[in-house]
Amino acid sequence: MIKNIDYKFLRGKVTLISGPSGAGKSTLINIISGIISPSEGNILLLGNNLHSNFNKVKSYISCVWNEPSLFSNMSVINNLRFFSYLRGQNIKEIDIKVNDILQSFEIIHDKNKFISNLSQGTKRKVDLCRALINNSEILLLDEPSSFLDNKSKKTLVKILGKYKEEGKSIIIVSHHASLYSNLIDVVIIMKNGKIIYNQPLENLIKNTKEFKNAFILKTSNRLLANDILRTLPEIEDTYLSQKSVHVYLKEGDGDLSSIINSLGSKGLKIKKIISKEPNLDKLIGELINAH
Amino acid sequence: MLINAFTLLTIKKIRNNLSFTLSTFTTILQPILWLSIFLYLREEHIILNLYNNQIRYIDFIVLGIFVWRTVSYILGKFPSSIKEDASAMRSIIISPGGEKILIWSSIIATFSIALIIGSSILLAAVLLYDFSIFLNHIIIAFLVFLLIIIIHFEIASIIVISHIHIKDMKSIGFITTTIFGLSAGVFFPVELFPPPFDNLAYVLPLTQGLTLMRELLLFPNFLPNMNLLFMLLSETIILFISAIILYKKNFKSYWLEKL
Repeated sequence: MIKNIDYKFLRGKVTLISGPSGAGKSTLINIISGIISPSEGNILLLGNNLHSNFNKVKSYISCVWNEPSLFSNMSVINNLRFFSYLRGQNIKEIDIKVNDILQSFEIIHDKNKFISNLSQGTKRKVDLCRALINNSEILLLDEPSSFLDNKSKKTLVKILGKYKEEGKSIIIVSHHASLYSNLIDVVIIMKNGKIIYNQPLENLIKNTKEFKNAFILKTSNRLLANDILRTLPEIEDTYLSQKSVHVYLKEGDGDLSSIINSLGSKGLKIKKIISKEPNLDKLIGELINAH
Repeated sequence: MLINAFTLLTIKKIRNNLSFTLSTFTTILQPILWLSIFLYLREEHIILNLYNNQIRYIDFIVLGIFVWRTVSYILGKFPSSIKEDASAMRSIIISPGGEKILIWSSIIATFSIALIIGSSILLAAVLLYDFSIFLNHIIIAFLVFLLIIIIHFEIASIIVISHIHIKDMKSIGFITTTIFGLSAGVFFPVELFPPPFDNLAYVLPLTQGLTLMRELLLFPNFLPNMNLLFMLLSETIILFISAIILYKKNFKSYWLEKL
């Protein structure tokens, strides 16, 4: 159940919706796609009231739900053809597009198989093809990467990148935000049916300690390095991972050379210094816990 | 484009229904079963006295079975023809024209197969009997038959949209067709039912339609009961409006509850 949501999704942007299970993310997608009617309030899509103009608005939306939505006793190619026909796509172009997208996800050899005979992962790929092939203005994706192998995840991100370049609006519901970190413009976090956080991605990263003055250090002795670093005045915090030390500097005290010198003077060899990349999943997890 | 989508879905539905499964096998066997009953009845020469006319029981029952089997197929198959595509329902709902294509392809596919079943039973009978009776008032009789088919599609749609047909689809289909078969005068003339069932039977559109068809085909010199035709037409319109209202109100929520 979701309540009191008053939000304007930005056109041409990629919005990520995250949150714990049962937060209302999938319900929100179902409402935006017109599958569920809200008990109160309105939804406007590209200036049209979703429920009073549903037939018109339908042509703007493509959606992937958490379960594949395909004809189980129809072949892959006919499923894709059917939904493309409904969208009024050019009949000559449909088969070319179908073949192209099936090749992108490396399932071209399955095109004549019935959906009921496919694995969960392949069904998910076909379902993604169904939504992506239509070139709709608004793309709603509920956990699109579930059941996908790593290669297909990369393909998905690449295709979504092209969509973004074309100015399409994309709303992604996912627990794996880091997969889409290069695409996301806005992050929304939901909890108990409400939006508890709503900021552009750069704000989320900028305002978080994790990525300011932080780096990962690989040395000849990480335990000793950790002990030394904790005695230095410019260090705010450290923690040990399996092969390295994660180091957080105090605000404004970013003198890396003095830290390296301190470690060197104790006989430690610095193997690698890596700047900390944002781990969106971790960040979002922290935000959820904080609320 | 919509016509392409419609063709693709309709062909799929017809092909799936005709694929060689156990139910297809029994469908093929059915005319042979009826044939054996007709063979027995021909030897018996049972004569019925209806409207002060004598007719052979075989003429009476063949017409009834032909219509009833077609109707019972529609009642059982149309809901399952829509249900088989439940997995794609969300995509259909948000695709322009998707719901209409689904309903129409289910109607056309079910209608085509109903016609195959009805025709095969009729063919089995024609192989043994002189069916010149089908030439009497054939056009009006065909119109009545069409009304019967439309009414039962409407009943099937209402069953589907009213959430009734899902949990025990086969049982409900069996009960409905049995009740219709027994109380609509398929096997026995309604006039032989004890009161008040003889009059109650006329509540069913199948009784009205079947009685009209028999009057038209078996008693060519007898003026058919035009009140029955009027009732049949009114029911077609009322059920059509009810089906549309229910469809508008319930279709989406119905599928969402299932998904």
